[in-house]
Amino acid sequence: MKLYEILFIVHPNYEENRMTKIVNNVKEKITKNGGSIIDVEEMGKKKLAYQINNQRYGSYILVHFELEPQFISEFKKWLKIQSQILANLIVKLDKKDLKEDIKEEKEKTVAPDEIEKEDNKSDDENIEEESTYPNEEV
Amino acid sequence: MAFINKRKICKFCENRDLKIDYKDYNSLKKFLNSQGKIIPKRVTGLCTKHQRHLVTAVKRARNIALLPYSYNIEN
Repeated sequence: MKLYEILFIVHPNYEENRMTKIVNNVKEKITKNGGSIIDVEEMGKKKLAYQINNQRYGSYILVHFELEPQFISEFKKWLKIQSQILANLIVKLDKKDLKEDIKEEKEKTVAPDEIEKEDNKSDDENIEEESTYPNEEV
Repeated sequence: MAFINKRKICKFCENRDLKIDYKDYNSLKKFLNSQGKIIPKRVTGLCTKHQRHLVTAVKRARNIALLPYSYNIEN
């Protein structure tokens, strides 16, 4: 059993009850092949960076699961056929990564201020660097 | 001749808590130029390892429509 992560986009016409049906279908497909589901997260409706099947919006759903590697190709084929799922991405994970992810989520809820500060710092540094670079070469 | 080496230490090496994740597309946008191309590591100042991780993250994000392949072409 290996650890995977799938991120897929559900067609914007399917919301709430109809969307949960689709998510349940995906879950069933995994569990039927002897896999197990660890975690399901809805990332909400977002604007797509480019149109897929003439759609500008889509709702993103993230699922962590365990499955035997030989069933992945079959799972991918099944996903392609589904008309309600616009796009999907399956990524293999290390087990360490997932544990760290869960820790991070807990930390984020405690101290969101620190993360913002870090972001600001990095912005400044980037700008400085770009401006100084041409001088060095001369 | 005074030559000062201002080469920066890689941001992700300095701060181990920062993670490169393809789902976190807003922080990846810092490493793209106005056309949506990935900025080379001689400009971003990242080390080879982290630049490589960054590139895979950006390409994954493009695949799943979190980031555009290019900004100029109207979709």
